[in-house]
Amino acid sequence: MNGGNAVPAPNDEVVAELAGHLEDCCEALRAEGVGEQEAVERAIGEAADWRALARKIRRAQRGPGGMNERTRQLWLPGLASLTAGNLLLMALSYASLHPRMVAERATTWFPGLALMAAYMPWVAAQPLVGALGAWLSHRAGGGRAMRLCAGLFPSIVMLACWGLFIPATAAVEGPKWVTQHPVYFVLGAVAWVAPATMGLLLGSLPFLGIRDLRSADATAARPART
Amino acid sequence: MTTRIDSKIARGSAELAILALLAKQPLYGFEIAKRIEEDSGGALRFELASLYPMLYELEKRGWLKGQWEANRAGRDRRYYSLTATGRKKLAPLRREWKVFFQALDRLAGVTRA
Repeated sequence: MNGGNAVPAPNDEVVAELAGHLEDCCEALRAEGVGEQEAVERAIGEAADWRALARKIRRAQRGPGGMNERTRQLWLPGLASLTAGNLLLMALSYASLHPRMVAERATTWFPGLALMAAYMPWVAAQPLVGALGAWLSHRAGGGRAMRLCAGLFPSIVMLACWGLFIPATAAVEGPKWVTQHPVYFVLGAVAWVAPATMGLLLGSLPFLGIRDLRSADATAARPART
Repeated sequence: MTTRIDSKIARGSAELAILALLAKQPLYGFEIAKRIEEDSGGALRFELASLYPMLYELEKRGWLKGQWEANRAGRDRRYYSLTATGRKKLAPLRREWKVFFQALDRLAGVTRA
C-alpha cells in the first residue's frame, strides 16, 4: 500500500467505496470468464435493495443514540432560532417601556407605543435570528429547504400559534376576544408573523445561495478514479 | 461459574470474522469479503449489503479505522485496520465464541460430528 492523498466527504466516501467494490466484483467475475453484461448485473445484484442498504448505512454511521440528519439539520437549528427570538422578545419586553407607565399617553398620542418599544427592535433583530437558524442548518449539512425552514422556524411556530392554537383555545374556552374582535385578531396575526417572516428570510438569504458543505468538500476531495 | 453467551451472538459472528481478519493486516471491503469466503472454504459469504453497514458500524464504535490508500492496481480503496480498542475487543469476542462452541459441543457434539 502506498499513501493515498484523497479523502472524500462522508457521503461521497460511501458512494466511492461501494462503486470500488462493484468495480472489483465485476473484474473478479470477468476474470472467471463471465461476460461483461452478466458481470455487471451480478455485481449490482449484490445489493437487492439499494434503498434499504442506504438506510442501513445511515443507521450504522449514526451509531447507537446518534441524532438523525433531520434533527441536526432542522429541529435543533430551528429550536435555536426560536429560542433566540423568544429570549430577545422577553428581554426587550422587560427592558422597554411598560404599558402601565405610558398607557394614558399611548392611547392619545401613539396607540400601542409601549408595545412598539419592544416590538420594533424585535422585528429589526429578526434577520440575525433567521441567520442563526440557517447557519446552524448549513453547518450541519442541511440542504437549501432545511436551511430555509430552520431560518423561518420562529415564524412557522408563530403562524401555528395564531392560526391554530389561539383560535382553538378561543373555541374551547368560549367567546373571547378572538371571536369578539376578529379584525384585531387578523391584524395581530399579520403584525406578529409577516414582518418577522420578512426579517427572518432576509437573514437566511445569505445561507440559501451557498452550496451544501458536504457536496462542496466532496467535489474537492473525491478520490481519483482510474 | 458459567460464562453467559451474548444474545447478539449471531451478529457477533460477523464482527469476529472481520476483526480477526483485520488483526492480521489492513484490507479493503472487497478483499475482506473475498478473504472471508476463501478462508472459510466458501461457508461464510459477505455480500455488499451486509458487509459495509457492518464496517461502518464497527468504525463508528472506534474498533476499526478506514483510510483511503491506493491498492496494488493503483486504485484508491478504503483500507480498514484494527484500532487499539478493536484489538482489545477481539480477545473477549474470541473467548465468547469458544464458550459458545464448547456449549454446543456438549449439547450436540458439533465439533466431533
